[in-house]
Amino acid sequence: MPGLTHYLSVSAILFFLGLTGFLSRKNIFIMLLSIELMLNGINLSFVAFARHLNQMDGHVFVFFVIGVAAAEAAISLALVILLFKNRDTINVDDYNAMKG
Amino acid sequence: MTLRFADKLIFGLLGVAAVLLGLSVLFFAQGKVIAFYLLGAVMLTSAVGVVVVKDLIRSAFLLALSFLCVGGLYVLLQADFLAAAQILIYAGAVAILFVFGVMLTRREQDPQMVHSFEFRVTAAVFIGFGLLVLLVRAIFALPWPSHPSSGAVANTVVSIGEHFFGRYILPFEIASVVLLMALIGAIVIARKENHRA
Repeated sequence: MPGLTHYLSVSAILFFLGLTGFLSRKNIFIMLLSIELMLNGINLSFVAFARHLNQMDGHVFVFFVIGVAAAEAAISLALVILLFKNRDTINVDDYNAMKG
Repeated sequence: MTLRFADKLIFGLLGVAAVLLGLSVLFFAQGKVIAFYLLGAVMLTSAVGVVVVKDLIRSAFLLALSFLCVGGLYVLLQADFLAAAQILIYAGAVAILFVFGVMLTRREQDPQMVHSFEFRVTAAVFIGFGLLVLLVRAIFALPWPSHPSSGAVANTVVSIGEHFFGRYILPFEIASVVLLMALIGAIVIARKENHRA
């Protein structure tokens, strides 16, 4: 049986894959997808702990994370579409209007 | 539309993985172990694909595949309701929302970003890999409390509902306000500004 450490390792790999994608890509869509990957890694570790400790609080936290992630996805996509209308690009290096 | 070779390879491997998953869960005594490693391998491979692949649509669908595999891992962890919510909300709503966003912001020819090996990428890989090694070492070094009597929870839906309306009632209500604000805010942000200049 894969135990707690296996699930925690998988969730850590998922989280740091998301972190690497967030830091390395310039495309704002890929950055948002990487944030979702990171949130999923965290959710997986929550569920693994809930199973290991036999408490349901981890499930409740995962539901809160899912709700916040859904709100964040909607807002961020609206912002990206607005940015694309105004600046005609999705490359984050071109969003430099506030650069001194 | 013709499929690329890489797409055919992905579809073939996915079919093999699905067949192996079904066979292992149905017929083998060690089916859970095989299912864990299969789901984890598919999930991590598709997550790497999300980060690496240049094409945005492929990246979004690989993300949906990764979410589906996370749902499978939830099933293995006996979180059945959470697995259903994961597949409905993440793979069904969030990933498709991203696909729509990609379609709305796509130009005629998207300039593929070809500067693949620059300082930013190497720095990001080093940071991610270093922190990952640190965290995994910590995971395997720590003495986790062992609860041998981790029996199955009979009905997770009832238990989650009791938690929501008992101890976590205030965060639950605040989450509803957050969702309403996100709904209104997304409409206000993305709406056409033609009512006043």
